[in-house]
Amino acid sequence: MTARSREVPLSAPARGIAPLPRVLDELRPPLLAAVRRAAPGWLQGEVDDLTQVAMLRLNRALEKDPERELTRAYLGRIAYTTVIDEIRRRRKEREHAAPDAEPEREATCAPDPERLAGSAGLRTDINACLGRAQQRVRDALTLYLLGHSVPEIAALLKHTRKTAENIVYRGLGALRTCLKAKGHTP
Amino acid sequence: MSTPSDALSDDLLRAAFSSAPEASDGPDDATTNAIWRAVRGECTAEELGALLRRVREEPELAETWRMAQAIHAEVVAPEEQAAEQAPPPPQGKVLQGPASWWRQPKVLGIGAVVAMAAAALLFVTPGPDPGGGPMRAETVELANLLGDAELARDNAVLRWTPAEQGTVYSITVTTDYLASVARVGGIHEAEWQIPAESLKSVPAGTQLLWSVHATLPDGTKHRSGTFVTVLR
Repeated sequence: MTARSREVPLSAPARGIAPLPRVLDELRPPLLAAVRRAAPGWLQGEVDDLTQVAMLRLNRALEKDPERELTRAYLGRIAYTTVIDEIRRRRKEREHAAPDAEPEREATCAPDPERLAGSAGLRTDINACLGRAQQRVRDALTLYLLGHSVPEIAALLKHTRKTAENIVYRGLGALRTCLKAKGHTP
Repeated sequence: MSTPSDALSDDLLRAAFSSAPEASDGPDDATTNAIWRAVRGECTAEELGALLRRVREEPELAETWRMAQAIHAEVVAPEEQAAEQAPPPPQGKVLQGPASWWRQPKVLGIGAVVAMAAAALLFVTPGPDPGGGPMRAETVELANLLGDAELARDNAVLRWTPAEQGTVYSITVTTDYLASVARVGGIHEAEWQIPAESLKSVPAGTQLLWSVHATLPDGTKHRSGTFVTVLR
């Protein structure tokens, strides 16, 4: 049985909870979107393959324990760990690749070294600027820069949504001012 | 929160912040696990603060966090949001007990992690049902007697406080990733050794989650919390 055709045993959903997809393949679109959104730039050309590997490993895990009742939280966690493992594996492969091997994607979307250097410098300066902020601003901005939305930040840091919004909005303003002072100008 | 003309756009800042060096190996399994819990709001404030500090210092952690956040947002959160928006059940039918308090990780902190694991364990991997009878959680305490001790792989004996004589126990063991490790019923002693065979594929350092269901001689059932024990 392949990941594309596997029937996922469906447990009775709790009130108001969307039922889990009956076919594992239905998890592919959200997983693909997630991988595309989060995969590092050097892997953007391989998100389809990465997603497929995650789906296959997910399928294997379910075959090992077919009686397991499923939740999206469980599936999400498996997907997360398998994608992380796959990224690790590919990093190692690249490290051990023959030095004269031509990377496939180099011609089309290899990262620009200057841009990379700029990003590294920008990250250093972001950290320096965050270091000057109050703890709660620092943590809120860190979460924001990691991709969290304001409501998520409010939930994680136990702020009201309004408070989180103010902290993030003002914090970003101060961060940009600080970065501009460090030479990151238009 | 940025304007199109702003050169330091949110996207640029986020990309710069969470790009890991291509040569990095990424965080270890424990950190990967901790990040997933943090993204799901299952960490204490102290744990979250410490992780965020590390994220600022170690770019590869930022990349892993971004992955966890993206997968959680796309795969997991829609279900949880649907649950939050659902109308509450009628007040008179609310069942008090573990199912109501594990939903409040913000208040309970570290206890919530274990409690949520307990809820997950009970929901995902129900143990064998030793028989009928009402579930009572309030009168018999089934406590973990292992304390903080780690389990030796070849002598992985789980111990808990015994209930009255004639009680029959069933035990469920999973990894912290909720993969089933072992389940057993019909145990008459307040201890049970996990078969070495069941632990063969479980790596050292794994946190095992385990819980005990007890059926008293009068047929009433009790369940423990979920205990966390590290496998050596």
